[in-house]
Order: sequence, then C-alpha cells, then structure tokens
Amino acid sequence: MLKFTIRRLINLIPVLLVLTFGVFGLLYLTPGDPALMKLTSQGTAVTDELLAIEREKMGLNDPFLERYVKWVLNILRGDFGTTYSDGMPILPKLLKALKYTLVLATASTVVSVVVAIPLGILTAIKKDSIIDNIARLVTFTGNAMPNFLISLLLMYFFCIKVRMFPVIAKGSVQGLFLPTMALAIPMASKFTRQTRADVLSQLDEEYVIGMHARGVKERVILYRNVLHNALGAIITIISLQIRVLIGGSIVIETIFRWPGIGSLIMDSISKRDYPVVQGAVLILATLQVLVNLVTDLSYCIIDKRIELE
Amino acid sequence: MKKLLAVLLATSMTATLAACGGGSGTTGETKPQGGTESGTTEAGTPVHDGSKIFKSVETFPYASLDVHKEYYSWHTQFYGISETLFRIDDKMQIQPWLAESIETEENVSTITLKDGVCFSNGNALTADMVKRNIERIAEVNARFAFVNDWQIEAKDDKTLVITTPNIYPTLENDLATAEFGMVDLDATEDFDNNPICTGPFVVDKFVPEGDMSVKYNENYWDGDVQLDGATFYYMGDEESKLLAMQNGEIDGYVDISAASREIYEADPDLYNVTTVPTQRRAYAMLNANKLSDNVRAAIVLALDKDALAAYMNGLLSSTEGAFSPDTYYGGVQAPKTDVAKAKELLEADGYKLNANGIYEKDGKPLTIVLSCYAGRSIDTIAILMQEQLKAVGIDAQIGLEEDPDGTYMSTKDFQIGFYVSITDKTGEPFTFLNMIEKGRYLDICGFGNEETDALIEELRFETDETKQKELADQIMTNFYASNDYLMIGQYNKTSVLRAGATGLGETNPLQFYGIDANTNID
Repeated sequence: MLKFTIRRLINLIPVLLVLTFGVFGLLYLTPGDPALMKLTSQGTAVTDELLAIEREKMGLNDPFLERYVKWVLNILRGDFGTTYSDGMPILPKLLKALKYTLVLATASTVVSVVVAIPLGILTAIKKDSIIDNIARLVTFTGNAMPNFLISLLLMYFFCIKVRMFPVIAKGSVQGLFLPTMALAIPMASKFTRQTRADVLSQLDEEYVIGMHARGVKERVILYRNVLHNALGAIITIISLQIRVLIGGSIVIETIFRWPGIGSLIMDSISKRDYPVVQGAVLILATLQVLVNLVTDLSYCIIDKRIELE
Repeated sequence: MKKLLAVLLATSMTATLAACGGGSGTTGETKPQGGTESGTTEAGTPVHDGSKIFKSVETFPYASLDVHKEYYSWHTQFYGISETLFRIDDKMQIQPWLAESIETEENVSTITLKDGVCFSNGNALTADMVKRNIERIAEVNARFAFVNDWQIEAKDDKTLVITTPNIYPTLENDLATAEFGMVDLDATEDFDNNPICTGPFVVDKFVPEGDMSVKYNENYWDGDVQLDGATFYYMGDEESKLLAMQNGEIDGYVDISAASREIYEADPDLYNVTTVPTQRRAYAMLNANKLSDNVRAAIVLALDKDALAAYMNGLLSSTEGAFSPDTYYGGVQAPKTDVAKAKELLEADGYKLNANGIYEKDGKPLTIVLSCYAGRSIDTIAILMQEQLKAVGIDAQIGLEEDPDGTYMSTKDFQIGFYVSITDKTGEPFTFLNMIEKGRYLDICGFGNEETDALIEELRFETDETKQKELADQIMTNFYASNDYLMIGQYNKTSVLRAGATGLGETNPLQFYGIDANTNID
C-alpha cells in the first residue's frame, strides 16, 4: 500500500505539469488583457502609454514559455506570486478560500451521507412501499432542481417565512447551515438513489438468499454483508461528488456569501488574473489526485480481494 | 431491524438539525418599519450609544483600503472614510471640501485649506501633508504618474501652490477625484487595512474581499456625525440583497436591478427608490473604414434611444450626447431620431428596399454585424438596436464576443462595435476627449483627425469660459457630424433606502459618494 501511495504521488508531478501548462496556454490564448482590465475596472478609459507601462510591470510582454518556466520555478520555491488585480500575495488568498470550500464540502458531504445511506437502505428494504415511493419522489425532485433554485427557496423559507436564520449570516455556524443544505439536498438525493440501487442489487444475490436460508439475522445480513458489498459503488459516487465540491460551487458561494474557491477562481478568470487561476489549478489538481488516492485505498480496505497495482 | 433503522434515521435528522446552530435566529435587526432610539440630545447633537448602525452591501470584492492605490478610494470615500480637497456635487459642479478655494493664474494654482480640518486622530491637515499625499499618489498609482510633473510647494500650513508644466484649467476637477483622498501619512501604519483620513467615519473592521465596518469619527472636523457606524456586507447576488432588504437586515444599497426596483417601487411606504443618470454611457462605434458615410448617418438617425431606454426598465436613461447638456461642453448634442431622413440617406447612397423589406445595393442586402459583449446588458442593447435597424430596412446581425478589448477593440475588425465607459468623471470632458484623439484607445473607427485634435489641445489649456464653450461646441460638432460614434444611453444609478434612512449618496451621479456625516436612520 505504501509503494502504491508513493508511486501515485510521484505520478502527480507530470500530471500537474501537463495540467498547469495546458491551463497556462488556454489562459494565454483567451482574449483579454489583464493590464487593461485592471486599469479600466471602473469604466475609465486609459492611455496607450499607461497600458504599455502596466503590461511591462506585470510581465505580460515576456514570451509565453519564459513566463511559464518562471512561474514553475517560483512555485518550486513556494512562491505563488502576487495577483495582477491588486498585487496581494496569492497563496494566502487561495488557502483562505480553500478553507471555506473544504468546510462547506465536508459539512455537506457528512450531512448527505448521514441522511442518504440510512434512507437508501430503508427504501431498498421497503421497496415499492409508500416510504419508498415518497423517498423516490423527493430524491428525484432534489436531484432535478438546479442549485440556485434550491438555494433561493431555502433562503426564502428559512430567512423570510420562518425567520429561523438571517439572510446575512456573518460567518457564524448559522451561516453554514443554508449553503450546506443547498449542496446536501441534491447530493443526498443522488446518494440515496445510488445506495438504494446498490443495496437492491446486493439483496438479489445468491449469498443473501443463502444467509436467509441459514437463518442469519436480518441485521447481520444487511450491515455486515449487503452494505459492505455495496459500499464500493457508494464510495465511488461520494468521491466523485467530493471532487466536484472541492472545485467550489460558484452559485452557492455567491448566493450565501461564502468566500470559497469557486468565487475566487471565477473572479480571477473574468479579471484575467492568470497567476491566481494557475495557483488554484495547482492546488485543486493536487487535492483531486489525493482524493482519488484515498478512494482507491479505501477500496482495498473495504474489499480485501482488491489488489493495488 | 425496523426499529434500528428508524432510530438511525431519526438520529441522523436530529444531528443535521443540531449541527445547524439554532436559537430564534437574529433576523430583523433593522426592520423597515422599526426604528432605533432617537439618539439625540435636546440640542440636536447625536448621542452615540452604538445603536445607529447603517447596514448596506458591497457588490465587488476589493483587497485593500489604500486610498491612493488602484480604485480603492472609490470605496473608502463611499464609506465616508476619505475626503478630497474638492468634491463634485449632484450637478457635476466642483465644490470646496477640504480646501476652501483655488486661485489660478496661468499655470500656477494656489489652494487654501479650510480652517480646522483634521484627521480622525486629531492631527491637523496641513499643506505639507497635502503635498506629500499628492506625491504619494503619483508614486503608487500609475494612472496618476503625470502628477510627477507638478511642482508642489507648501507655502504655509494652509496654503499649497501647484505649478503645472502647462496651463491646467481642470486641476480642481482632477483634485476632486476620489484617488486624491487625504491620508495622515505619518500616523497611518497599515495603509491597506486602516488608513487614517479626514472623513466622518473610521475603519472599525475590514475583511479584505469581504465585509467592512466603520464607526463614527469622534474628531470629525465638519460637524456632528449622525450615525454610530455602518456595515457593508459583501454580497454579489442580487436576489440575496433583495431578500436581505425585505427582511430588514439592511437599510439600503445602490445599483439595484430592474427586477428588484419593481418590487421596491410597489411598496412606497416601506422603500424609497431614487434613480439618477450617471456619467457612464453606452455607445456604439461605427467603423468609417467599413461603412459608408450615408450608412453611418442613417444608423445614427434610425436609433430610437427613448424607446430603447424604456425597454431597459430603468437600467438606462436616454442620452443624445457624450456629455450632459448642463455642462459647458455639452452644448452640442447629437441629432434626434429621424427614421425618414435615415431612409433618404440610404436611398441617396444607392440602396433600394427589396421584397424582404431590407435595403440592398447591387443585389447585396445591407447587412451589418453588431459586435457586442454580455457585460452591462450591452448584448440586450444590441438586440434592441438590431430590431430597430431591421424595422428601418437594415439587416443587423449580432456578433457576440466574450471580451471587447481583446477582440474588436484591438483588432478594429468590426462594423459596429459597442462599448461602455465613463465619459465625464470629474465635471470635465477630457476623460472622454483624450480617448478619441488620433491613435488613442477609442479612435478605432477612423474618427481621429488633426483638426479635432488641435481643438482638443487648445481646449485643454483654455481658461476663458466663453472660449471654452466655443471650442467644446466645435469639437462636439465635428464629433457628431462624423457619425463615427453613436451615444445610446446613460446608465442609471438606482438606490433604495428603507423608510427613515437617508444619505447614501443616492442623488449623486458618481459612484464614489456614499455615506457622510448627515446619513441617518430613524
């Protein structure tokens, strides 16, 4: 397992190089001048001379490869550089935004899993019952509704109608509830349906029939065997969802004033703040690979038959 | 088994609710109908008991409060922290602020500061400090590097003399721009997070790219400050702002959307909505290298700006020109809509209406691409213009670009290109005129010419008001006669305040005037 882990971490290096080069290239090719955007951000036109000075200051006149190599060398020294837009250090900004994103991702994932797995099991056991039908309707709706609609409905209900929370949550635990629910509702819907499907497919397996025939307790069949065998697929979908969440959810972050990495990246792209986007891609790519690694390792732990190559 | 499942489900639901915090919720700290304590003595002096906190929102994130850098002063001045030597009133006229007067003779201007002006720490604002502030602006803000050419001398504590390389009739206008806010350079330790300035408010708490709180300045030099403080929540989403306002969590904000405006205007007892046209204009550049004179002239005459503005539901006010007619440089405006004349011009150019109602010449229909982008509803404006042109007989197509500066503004490969900029930032025309001179940024449609450039340069150094008006009229006559630019509309600044709240700079067309000493909530 250790060798596997080390090998995967080493493989991360070429992945990051290819990814950052690709992103750097795409940003380079994207129309738009970061210097112009910075100088005209409030709608006042600027002179060509000023633009030229700013471009020189930002290093935008350097050749593409030179800029990329310089960036890589700086990264190796731990220097993520400063933003184009305000000249502030990039790494603290990224880490701060990432912290918020990870908090939200963790909270929403935990809530989703805590709700979805028991519900998924229940609906599988009670297949075609009223509980199952209601749960399927709810999860279908939760899965189909767009994030922004869920967010606004939650805000309207909890803040305006019931007045349980303020619209402006001021960074408290209350501030985490609504964005967590906005993310958890569609996630829990997905997980519930996946859990139900996986448990149902396991319940049809011959080993379950055999265990029933041998008089094994229902609880043991369900939790120590069926669920255990279904976990692989469930973990896969959870892992996929976590990877999506790590990238930030711009809609949720904007509506609920959650200063996560999604908003930061979006803002940086629109300002052509290449160093911030590059830094974010680097960190997020690393996290994605790590999540992938943890997922693969968890398969081995759950199912001893799986061997790591 | 069933019981275990039920317990699991109930536990997970309970854990979910418990993790969410709770309590009664702290909504409605300020309700539309609610009030705060009166907070004044019998003599009318406000009593600062901490209860009068004005709450608003900030739409754009920014990383610093350094008054002299970038455009941060537009925020610091909006929050009532920084002030400038002069200010621009609601009619775009220059008024004294920290300075009492300016007297100019040739290229030498003498500025006299007002008595009693001090920073929030009680230190007096002196002429020497003003000099050092101006020098710092030139040093840290590339847009003001031209200030390095000024010679500045503090004659005494209250008198500053500025000698410019040439006659500079718009010096006080430039000194009125927010970037020239005064900072106590000696006492300020953290320019990015806590600049010490002269305004009615001081920084209480600032989260870069987040929320901002100010508290009243105990040493404010210009009278009583009505509020105890103000908080600006960073909030980018319009729906969230609307909900927060309806929930009574904020007292007002600027730049409300058209949809929100309708909702607020439906409740005039609860909300006061104020709309004022700003100096930010949407315009189209008609490329003289790709369109004939008659076609351009026809397009200019064909556009019904009033109808277009009406359709934009409060976002735009119709405008006939680049400048307000109230100014000396706004005396000449563009010709009014005349569809009949537009058609005449096209027909005089050899175009005939075909069976589809589109003008064509030599078998080719008159098809024009409207190059636009999705910011500031420019794409919507382009679509509306497309419809109007089609009604006249011009087949207009939309060419949507992601970024105008990176595409048609730099390649100059367009027939009609849309753009937005502030044409009058400080009550003078050069913000815009500088950009249309030959070879300048907005000279991409073939307008720039030596004759107009010479007039602009002459105006730049002209001090006689009569002559200024004459020159401005000539320049703008040339401008409109070229049919290279089509002014479409002025963006409105629409603000909402709850009943009982006043003073968010809602009547000033500029973005950098917000709360001040008179801002109040009842």
